[in-house]
Amino acid sequence: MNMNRLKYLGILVSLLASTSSPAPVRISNMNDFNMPAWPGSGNLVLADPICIYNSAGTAYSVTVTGSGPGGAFRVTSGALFINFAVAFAGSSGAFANLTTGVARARNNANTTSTNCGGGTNAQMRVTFTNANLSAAEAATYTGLLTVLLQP
Amino acid sequence: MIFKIYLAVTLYGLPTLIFAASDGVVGATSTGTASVLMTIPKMIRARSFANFPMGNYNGNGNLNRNDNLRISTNYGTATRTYRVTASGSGTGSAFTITNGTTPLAYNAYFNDATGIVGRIALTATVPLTAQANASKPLSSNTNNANLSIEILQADLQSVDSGAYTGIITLVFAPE
Repeated sequence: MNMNRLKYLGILVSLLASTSSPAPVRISNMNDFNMPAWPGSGNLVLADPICIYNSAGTAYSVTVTGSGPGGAFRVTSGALFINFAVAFAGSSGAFANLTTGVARARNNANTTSTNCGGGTNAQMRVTFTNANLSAAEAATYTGLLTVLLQP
Repeated sequence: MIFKIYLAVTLYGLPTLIFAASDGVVGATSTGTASVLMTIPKMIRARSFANFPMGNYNGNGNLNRNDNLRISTNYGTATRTYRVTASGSGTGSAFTITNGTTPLAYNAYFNDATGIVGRIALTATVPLTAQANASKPLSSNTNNANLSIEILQADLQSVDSGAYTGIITLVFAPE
């Protein structure tokens, strides 16, 4: 193989690499989950509408991890903690519970606007169960959810 | 790309981390973040209440009845203090029962333990403070307090025959 052939092969590989890179995506309209006051009984539930954008098509996946050990969905106050559940819904509004670190596929991304034109097309939901709240100690608890969007 | 903003603030002398939500940027992948904030105030729960059917009076002695209670909290370590304030359904919240026309006085006692040994007489609408035998957490099912009712012979013998009823209300509050 002469040098000219090697050069052409390099250009071909470069072109293939550039054409196979993923199209841009974006997650936006994220808001904090400031949970309402617990009245002493019942679950506490709060949902946040968000925007999912994928320039290449409506299909995407989200992977949510918490800030507890091993990515657990957990809020803490020093050594105290409360576990909670996270669910995700596409445009249908039907929530599916998430497992931390496990991707969930959906098919309703906005393909034209990186901020959904100011609207939303998906929701994240946080649920604290009555059982976990009844077992918790009085304190202020905080945690963090990280949401990875992939085409 | 991940944007995380951490602001350290001090509230009432206690350091608290406050996170702020962040949107992702346009890219091959995009990552957003959201904080979860939950505040649970001091709470107290009183359960295992029962009515006090005092029965038929036979003409002699006092009438007594008591009921063990479950008081649970979500605060405290060795002690979980609380206060209890009782009020009756008589005039001015008096501890009385009535047949519709005549009041019949009774005494009410609270004990910071099961049973009646060591109980303390309640005064209507006056808080009984520093009760410290509650259990934790709120979901605890431990009996740890007692409410008792006593109707004295002198009062029983001074009223007309009839059926007497009333309500006693107890309000528990964390300390």
